[in-house]
Amino acid sequence: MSVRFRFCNSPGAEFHFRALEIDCTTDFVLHTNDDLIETVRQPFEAETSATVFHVHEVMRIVLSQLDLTDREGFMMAHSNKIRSKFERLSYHAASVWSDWGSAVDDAGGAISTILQRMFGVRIRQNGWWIPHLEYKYIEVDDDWSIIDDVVTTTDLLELASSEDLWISMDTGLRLLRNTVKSDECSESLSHFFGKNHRFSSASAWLQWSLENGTRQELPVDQGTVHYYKGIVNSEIPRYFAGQVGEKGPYESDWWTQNVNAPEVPKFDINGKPWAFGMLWKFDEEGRYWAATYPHFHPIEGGDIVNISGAGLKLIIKTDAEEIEENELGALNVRRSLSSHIVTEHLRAIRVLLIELGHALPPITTDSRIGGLGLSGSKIPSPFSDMYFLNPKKGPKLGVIIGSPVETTLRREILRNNWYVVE
Amino acid sequence: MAQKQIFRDGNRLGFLPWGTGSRLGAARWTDLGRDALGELSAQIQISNMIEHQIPNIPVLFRNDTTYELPESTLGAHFTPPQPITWSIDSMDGESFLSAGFQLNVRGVEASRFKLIAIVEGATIKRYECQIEEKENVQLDSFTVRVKPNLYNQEEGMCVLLCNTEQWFSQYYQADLQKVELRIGKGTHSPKTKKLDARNNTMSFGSSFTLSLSKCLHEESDLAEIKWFTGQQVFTAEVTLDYTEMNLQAISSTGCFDPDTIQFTELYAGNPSDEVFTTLELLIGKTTLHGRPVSLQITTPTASKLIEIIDPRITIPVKREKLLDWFDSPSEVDPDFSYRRTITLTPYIAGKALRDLSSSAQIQLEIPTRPSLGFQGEKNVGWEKFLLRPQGEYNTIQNQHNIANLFADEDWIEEIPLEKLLPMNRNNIYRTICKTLDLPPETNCEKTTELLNQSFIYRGDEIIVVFKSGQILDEIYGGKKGIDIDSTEVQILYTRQKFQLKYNGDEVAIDIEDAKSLSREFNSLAVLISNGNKYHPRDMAFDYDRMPEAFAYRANTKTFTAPQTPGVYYLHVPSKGENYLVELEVHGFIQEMIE
Repeated sequence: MSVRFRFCNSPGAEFHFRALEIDCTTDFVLHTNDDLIETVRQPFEAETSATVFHVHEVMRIVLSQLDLTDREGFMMAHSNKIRSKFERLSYHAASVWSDWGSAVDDAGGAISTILQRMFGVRIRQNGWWIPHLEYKYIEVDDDWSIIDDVVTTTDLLELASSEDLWISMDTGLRLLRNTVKSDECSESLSHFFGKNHRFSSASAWLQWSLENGTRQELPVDQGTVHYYKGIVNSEIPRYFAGQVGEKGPYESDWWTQNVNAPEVPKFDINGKPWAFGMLWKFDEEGRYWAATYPHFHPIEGGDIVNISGAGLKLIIKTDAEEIEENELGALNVRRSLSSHIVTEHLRAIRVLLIELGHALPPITTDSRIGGLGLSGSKIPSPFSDMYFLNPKKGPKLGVIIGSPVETTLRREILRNNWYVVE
Repeated sequence: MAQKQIFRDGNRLGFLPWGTGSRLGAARWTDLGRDALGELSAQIQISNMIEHQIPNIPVLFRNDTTYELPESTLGAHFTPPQPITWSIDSMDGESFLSAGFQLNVRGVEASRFKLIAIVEGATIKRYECQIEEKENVQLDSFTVRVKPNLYNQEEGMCVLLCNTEQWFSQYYQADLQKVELRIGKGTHSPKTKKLDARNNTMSFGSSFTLSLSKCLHEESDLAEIKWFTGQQVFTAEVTLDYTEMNLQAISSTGCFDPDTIQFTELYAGNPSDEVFTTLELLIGKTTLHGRPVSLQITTPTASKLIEIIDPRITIPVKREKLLDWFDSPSEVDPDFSYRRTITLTPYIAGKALRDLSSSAQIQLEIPTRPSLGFQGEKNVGWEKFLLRPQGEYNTIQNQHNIANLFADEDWIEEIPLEKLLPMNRNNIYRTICKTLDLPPETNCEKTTELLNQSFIYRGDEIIVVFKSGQILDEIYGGKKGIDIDSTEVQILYTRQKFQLKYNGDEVAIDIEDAKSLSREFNSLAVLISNGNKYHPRDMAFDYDRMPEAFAYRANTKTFTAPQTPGVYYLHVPSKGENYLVELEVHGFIQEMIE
């Protein structure tokens, strides 16, 4: 018996594009913040360098082709299934575009991170994701809306011309001109950011905290009390918690042990003066300064008001569980909530002092947002302020930086965080 | 439905839109009423609880002098400065205020008066003032040796004998009242004291037993001693000599291992907690005179005091820390912008011994930035450009139609990638960047004159004049050695001599096949040097390009750079291997040539 082997040509670009269901001649513009790399027309063309946009587009193709599972009334896809399909399409993508691996890394690397950073996908527990298969937009201003669905760009170009789309190769952000979208698929920016469900001002947050905190004595073994100054000069106040955590309150201009120091603001709330303090203790194991027990200190005497997460009696519950008084949720969620609450307090004080004319407010055209204490997660996702605004280059680049909606969104995010901006 | 909901006292207040671990997002307080969320809440005001601060004023005054009192309080963050109303209680003297703020001091020695500061109708501060009238007599400065107290059981105590003698043209009464030794802000009383006067010569004596912490002063070794008599204060500046305390025994040395970090490795990599180098410390002693020794480590971003338990300490330094250091402002000298210094200062008895400080340095090695051959229009930062991944270089290269260097040459595949990639990167940089305001292409008048004297172009050869060529070599700093494997751009001056080296040894060149290449891939044979002439072997040599040609002298294995400044690639075959060196020939400007 003999076997005859015959050499065949390996599949060409046409085969891979067919597998991706992409027409390589599709003509639209990919924009970039990179001053050395030009905008790209025909971004799907063979040999083009792959970008975050290409990774998102392949992920959109994956999500639009998957059989979704009905869970809790939502059509969901699981990470494992997405990963399997994405890896298969990655083979084809890497065969037609260069630097596919770098682009996947820039988009987040892991499947869950790529999905978490994309618009048009919402995370659920245990590896489940909800892709928005139907048209969905977040209206940013009179001209543009963020595309918050996984409709592929090829399909989108049937609805809109290339001039009606603004797509970033650096971040994958896709914008659609308002004139070509239907209103019923849109939600407002305020709705997206939950503006009506946030405290409307720094004063409102501080008053609510004081009214709902716990009156008590400070513990004696949890560190030394230091009081927050709120501002250190008349510039835009920027507080970098990481630096104070490293150097400690004694070497920080922002904190003092002397509650009567003139730099410590005393807040007139409900007719009484209060200062804001925290207990600082050096964590020998972690080699950093830990701040706990955020509290209002009554200047005229009496018990402090503990306004930590515990002091405010805030409990985090997952919806599947029953409400029990002592249930505090997972430790890391509790810690994050505590940190979040402290960030809110410190920012509220800085904003208050800006409102009273003791310091300058941030400017919407200034991309430097470090130290402003913007709320939300530091993990890149559409639920993080930093994800939108981070001025740093590379994978950390804020999703709207360089886009036509940059200033509008920065203004909205600053306002959501109580800053008074023009 | 949200994953993480916020409850308080059994009532749901809202939810967190992102529920896993630290990914909380901003809270949505969906179940709090509009009132609680502050639609109607009033602006909180700052209550002015700040005590007014009066600028410092002295409380000891001399008779018959005037003093301007401050007119307003010191302003604070939330308290604007307020005018001060002064009043005086003259008590047993005759001091008075004029024009509101001028204090006129009148009274006998030791008489007292009170100043009262009133702000916004309230008395803020009272000052108990006194008239002091002793005459100050300045003594010559002298040195006091600080010695360990060998007879005291308590460790860390020191003895200071402060004795001096001085002749005066007038007689002073030796009615000694007290002696004070002032070190820094501390004032100390003596264990024994004496003052003798004989024939206008006065002998001042006192001994002090002080703890080491009180003897040491961080700012300087200077102290002041005062002998008080009934009518005078005799004051002398004293220099404290710590030789017998053997403080140098606790001096320390430190170094980084490694002490050089590659720029691209530091900035382009991950993760942040990777240990990049270690700080190796060696401290002379862990205790001195019974006191534990500490070490203050001052880095570009922080200062930390560490206890010394072992005289040898190894401290790992992570990437994150190095990034902080190199992102902080550089040292004063801009030539050292890629160098950072940490200072090691021994501490004993709570005091820093700054005279014994030492330092350790860490250097960031950054590839040399091209300086010549720019053709583009962009102003691109070199450091930022270096950190781009290879994929981005490819994209830029494709978009600007920049060909790979010497792709058609048959030897190019023998050149290792680690050498080719930086050359290609530099070529892209030159192609897209605009010319520097002051490109280093020009020679100064003296250099031009020396070049014209040293290299005389005669048709098909260049006559070399040894003497003036030697002067040129001297001002260039002599012959340069170039590592043939280096991935750096090599900088030479016009007609500077250089040798190619491999592991420190000179490389034998197959000069017949060596050639220089321009960025446009035009090749040119290397001229042969026989001592007083350069000439080509190849009859087809383009004689118009003589100033662009390298020359080579085989017996000394020495090259001479081209006379025309510019970017050159020197291809040199050697024993079957192919080497490629990227060179920039710069002009030389040195106006002061003797």
